[in-house]
Amino acid sequence: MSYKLNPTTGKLDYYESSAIVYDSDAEAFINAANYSLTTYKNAINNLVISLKEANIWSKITAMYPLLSDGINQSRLYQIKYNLKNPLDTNAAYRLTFAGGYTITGTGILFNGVNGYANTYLAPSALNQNSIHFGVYSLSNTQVTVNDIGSIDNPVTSGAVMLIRDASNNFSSRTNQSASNSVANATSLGLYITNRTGASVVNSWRNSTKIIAQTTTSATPNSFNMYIGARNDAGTATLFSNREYSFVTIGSGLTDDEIGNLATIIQTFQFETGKVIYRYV
Amino acid sequence: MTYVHLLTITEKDSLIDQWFAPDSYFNPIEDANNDWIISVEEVNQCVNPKFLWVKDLPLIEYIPKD
Repeated sequence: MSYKLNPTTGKLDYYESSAIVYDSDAEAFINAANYSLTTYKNAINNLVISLKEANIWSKITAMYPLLSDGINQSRLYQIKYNLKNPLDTNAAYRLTFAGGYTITGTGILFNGVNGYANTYLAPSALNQNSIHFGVYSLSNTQVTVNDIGSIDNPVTSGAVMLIRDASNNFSSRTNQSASNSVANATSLGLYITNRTGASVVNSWRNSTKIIAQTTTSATPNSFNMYIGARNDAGTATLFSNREYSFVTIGSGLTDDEIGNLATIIQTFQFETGKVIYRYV
Repeated sequence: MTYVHLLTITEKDSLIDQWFAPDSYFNPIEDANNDWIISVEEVNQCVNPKFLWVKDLPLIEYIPKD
């Protein structure tokens, strides 16, 4: 509740304040990105609170909401920050960019020629048998590119994902040498690949499990994961032409946690006006 | 059709690890003819006064390597 001096009566009038007290982690990110829009600030706050209530927040290492209003700061300045640790340093897994890209009102669109983002987060910084990573794609393209990840050379271990290739297949490596794949005729939506054990790996489209395998894990590689390309032992390749609206990287998640994470991210997308297709 | 800007080898070497905008770095790559190129986005968005010369680079059709 708040009070305001009434200049006519000279008395204090009581009124209900609609100000929100932000979660401290949400506030740190909001301040780093310097958002102006209250709807965006509230959506970030709801995102963080929801992740904590679902016991997922502690399992996130890097999360990029890719949200920008471009009012107090440039859009590029705002989308580079890691929600989990919003410092402007490589060690905080703040993004930098290379090649050609366009910051849209709904995320970042890579040019399919030479553009990508560097997370500075290598799979070796995460647990060999507990890792997840995912992207929310707003583009429906049938092309053999790489959406996120890194791999060593010669290949002993990759953490990579290709959500829809030229043959309409989804494929991924989750700290493993061989890839897992499944038929997939759309690249729209939230795609997560996830490992919770030495022989437990699965991949998801939104809340639907599309891969469940027992592929044995391998020692994680030490190359930074790229968004919009694949880091092939230090060289970016397979440049994507898709638009990404949200990215998450962290520890392995249970099936229930994947479902909750998908719901939380989709709610965020709705609250920030970023969803442009029906959620399936 | 996608267009890109053509570089000489000397020009390519001068762009390695250099920024064209805040937090954004040039990324020269080879095309199918083994020529070095950068994207129209890097050229259009370049605000680094040291590399504004990229805005005068010739424009060619992009043919990706297989």
